[in-house]
Amino acid sequence: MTAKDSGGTKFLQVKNLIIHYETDNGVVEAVNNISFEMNRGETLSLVGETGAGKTTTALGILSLVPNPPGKVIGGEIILDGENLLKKNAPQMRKIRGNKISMIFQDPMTSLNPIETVGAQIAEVIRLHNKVSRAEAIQRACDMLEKVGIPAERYTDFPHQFSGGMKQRVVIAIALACSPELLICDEPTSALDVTIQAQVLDTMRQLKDEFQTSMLMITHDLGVVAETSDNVAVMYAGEIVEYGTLRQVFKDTRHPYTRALFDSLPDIGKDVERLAPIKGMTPDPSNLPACCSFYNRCSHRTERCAQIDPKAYDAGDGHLVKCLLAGGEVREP
Amino acid sequence: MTRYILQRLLQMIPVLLGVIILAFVLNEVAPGDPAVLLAGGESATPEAVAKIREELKLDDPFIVRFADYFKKMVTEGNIGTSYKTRQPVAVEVAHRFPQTFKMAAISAIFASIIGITLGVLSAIKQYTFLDNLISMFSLVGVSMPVFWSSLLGILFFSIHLRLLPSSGFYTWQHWLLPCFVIGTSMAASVVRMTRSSMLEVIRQDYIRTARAKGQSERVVIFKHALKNAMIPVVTNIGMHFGVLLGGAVIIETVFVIPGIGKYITDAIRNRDYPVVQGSVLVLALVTCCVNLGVDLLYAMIDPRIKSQYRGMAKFKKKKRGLTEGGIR
Amino acid sequence: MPKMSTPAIEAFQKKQKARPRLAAGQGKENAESVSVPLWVESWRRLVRRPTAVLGMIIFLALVSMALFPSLIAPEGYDNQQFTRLFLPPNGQNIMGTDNLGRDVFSRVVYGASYSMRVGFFAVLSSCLFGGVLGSIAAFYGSRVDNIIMRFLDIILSIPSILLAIAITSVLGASLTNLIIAISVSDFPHYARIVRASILGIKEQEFVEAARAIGASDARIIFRHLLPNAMAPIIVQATVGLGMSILSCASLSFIGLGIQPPLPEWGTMLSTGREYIREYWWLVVFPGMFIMLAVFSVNLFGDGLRDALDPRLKR
Repeated sequence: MTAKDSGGTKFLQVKNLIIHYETDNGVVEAVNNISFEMNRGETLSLVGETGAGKTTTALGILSLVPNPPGKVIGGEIILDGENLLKKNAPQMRKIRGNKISMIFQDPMTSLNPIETVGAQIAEVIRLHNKVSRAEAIQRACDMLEKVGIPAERYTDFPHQFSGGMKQRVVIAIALACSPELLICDEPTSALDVTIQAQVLDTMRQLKDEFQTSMLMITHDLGVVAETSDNVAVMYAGEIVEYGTLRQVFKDTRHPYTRALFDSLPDIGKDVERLAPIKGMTPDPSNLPACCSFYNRCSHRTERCAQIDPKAYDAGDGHLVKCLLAGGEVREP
Repeated sequence: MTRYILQRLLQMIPVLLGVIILAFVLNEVAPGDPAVLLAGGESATPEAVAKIREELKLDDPFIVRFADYFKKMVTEGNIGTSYKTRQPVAVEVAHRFPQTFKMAAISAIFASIIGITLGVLSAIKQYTFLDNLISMFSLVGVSMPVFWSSLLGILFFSIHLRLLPSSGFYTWQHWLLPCFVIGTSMAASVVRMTRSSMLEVIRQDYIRTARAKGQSERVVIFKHALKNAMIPVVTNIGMHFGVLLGGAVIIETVFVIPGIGKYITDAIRNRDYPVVQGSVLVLALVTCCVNLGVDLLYAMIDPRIKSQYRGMAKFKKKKRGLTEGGIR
Repeated sequence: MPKMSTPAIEAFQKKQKARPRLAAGQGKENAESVSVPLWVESWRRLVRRPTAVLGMIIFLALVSMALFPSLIAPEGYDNQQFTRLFLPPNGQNIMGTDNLGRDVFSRVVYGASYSMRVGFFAVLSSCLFGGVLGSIAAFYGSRVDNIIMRFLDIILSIPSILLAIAITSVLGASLTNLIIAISVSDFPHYARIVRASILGIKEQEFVEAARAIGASDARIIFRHLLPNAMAPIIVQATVGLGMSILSCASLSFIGLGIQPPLPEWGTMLSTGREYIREYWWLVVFPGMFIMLAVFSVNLFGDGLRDALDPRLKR
């Protein structure tokens, strides 16, 4: 069940995680029985369209799924041999911001508008370290410098910063306590393209400096290629393809992943039109009993409408949730 | 900050001018000839009426009289003369206003404390029994006319239990019932404002950020959420102070409190229009000042407003306006 | 047309999700699932709330009292019988009789029509007047906007009940003047809300998008601006209805509204107040109906606000 078996215990193991949102309009099956693993210092990317359940997975790891309506139905999240889902609230608080940090999608709204940015960084430092106020301020200033913001701006408020700068502040907050796992939820998608590269660069540098493992959530395959060791492709709450960066990018097996690549513009190829994926993601409150990609798949067969495929190993831990990979169906 | 205060004071001038014009015009269109009323009503002799007409320059054109009225107001603080007592309205108002203000202020403080506490409680326990209970009570509270709840208060505390006096405004026992009645009525609306503002803020991303830092729920609620949620609530409490003063007008007739409200309602009964207009003018002025105070408080809590009035602010604001669609 | 960058598209989608009208067919819902109009959707959400339904039922009961008082009231509102002065509530007169021997319940039933009439017409006129002023301010912007808003500031700086008092004291006490006074002191609220919501929507990308695909001004106004601006106006109108009923009763209470012997609730309270020491029922029942009317409107309004707020959709 592993992408790259290096033996020994894994740093993070997510096993059969199921998260539902119970709404007025029925149960939304946001995360459906997903499993993945990470080694220390590695980067795993969760790739998928909006609504595929990526963010919910991340929030699940931090026990921050908004409840109500969200609920972790089952599964295990094991970090360093301890099941996070078994921890009580105070224990989880000690882990959040300290051992596991998260960078959120929208820097515009992720910072408290009426606190200085410095105070917001110092807050997390004082929470998890026994340090004096002065020392916390000093360390917060250091963090600001590290993410490329002059320490003099400690007393500025978020509205005085641009989007990219705000995201740097968010990164500073996330890394202030040298977390072992950093979860990045589309950290650059709300930023301008030019700023994206800078911010990614900063993140990568700091990740190396702090020896942090990273769970990168994104829909941008370019970002994936630049940052990751392993890739998990999510579709409708399930991981449909999972493997090393090389396996997924060079030896793409799942029709959905292929379609994702086909919908990207390629400088090297001269094509009339890009190939979009036809149709829409299925309604997560009403998922089909068969393969969830069935209605959009260009390789579908009658068999696909009958069963929900399991994940097949396409060789060397490269998991593909498709009958094609299982050899039950021949490519047409 | 000085610049901000100055700017707000300047903004108040056209508003006050407008209120003065409005008060004057209302006085103008009031039925009855002021000269006749001043001379003592229908039985007055034509000579006496003519004399007063001459004295008050009532035959001058509208603009001239307004200029005169305005001049007298600014230089002498004269906001009209009572038809009935022939006394300047300003003197009587100055004498009575402190009672009304005291009552309104005590009620407002009471309402803020109770209202904010219950509102926060209701928001953090959303959808629980407690939340439903508080929400129901506050809804009943805002639906009760204050004069009715005063009457119920008198029925219960003064007549049934014989605990509190039902009229006058002399000892602290006299204050208790009116302040409690206005206070609870206002508290009800503060609860509703606080609750919805808190619920709005709790949904914000920065609250999730605070939780992701590992901050305890208590600090998340009181430090991060409450401070942000208070911004609209404070403005609303300020705006409600005007409503409170208006409510005081009615409450005072019920409890026979010698404040400005009783003055107004008595004047209405006697068709003493200058008193009505003069008092309304004073209350409007006070409301404006309170709103200014609230705005300053607002600027103190919210750095986004504060920085608009500092040095480079204008340039920054423009730039932000282009990139982020303005500040929230 | 310049190509939209990914962040721009995302911001666009996000804003669209925040908009009620466009939310129905998007986001969670599948392309194949039939998208229902916002009003139907909101109505369904509204009737699922027991409190809103309760408010609606009480309010409809009061409206039917106002429309057909003679069918509900056992007697006329001015049926004086001096053989039964100050009777406490009993089998015959469930709310007792008053100082002139009139049946309090009958008077309360007839009283509904005053509150409802004043409330309805005051809301209607301030909605129309405020709506027009607010849209003018929002559409023309700059100087027109400035002048209108300063004018509204003047009115708003006077506590509304005080302004209503000043106006009725000058115009004289009557049903029409009551409506005028309440509308004049209330319309700035509507104007502000209409202005704010139209300003907010005018700048949004989906309006720009509509313009970009060549929609006419009329289509933009009627298909995009107004439907999205309607929700806050409707909510304000229900809140305003409650406030107007309260104002009507308050003004009558201090002698500036409906005059006795007409059975307006505030007027009845004002008379009953003089007998409060001995005859509590003269004070309790009329006031209870004022409260009931305002309460039902507020209950309904709260439900409506939640039903129309797409963010509260769970």
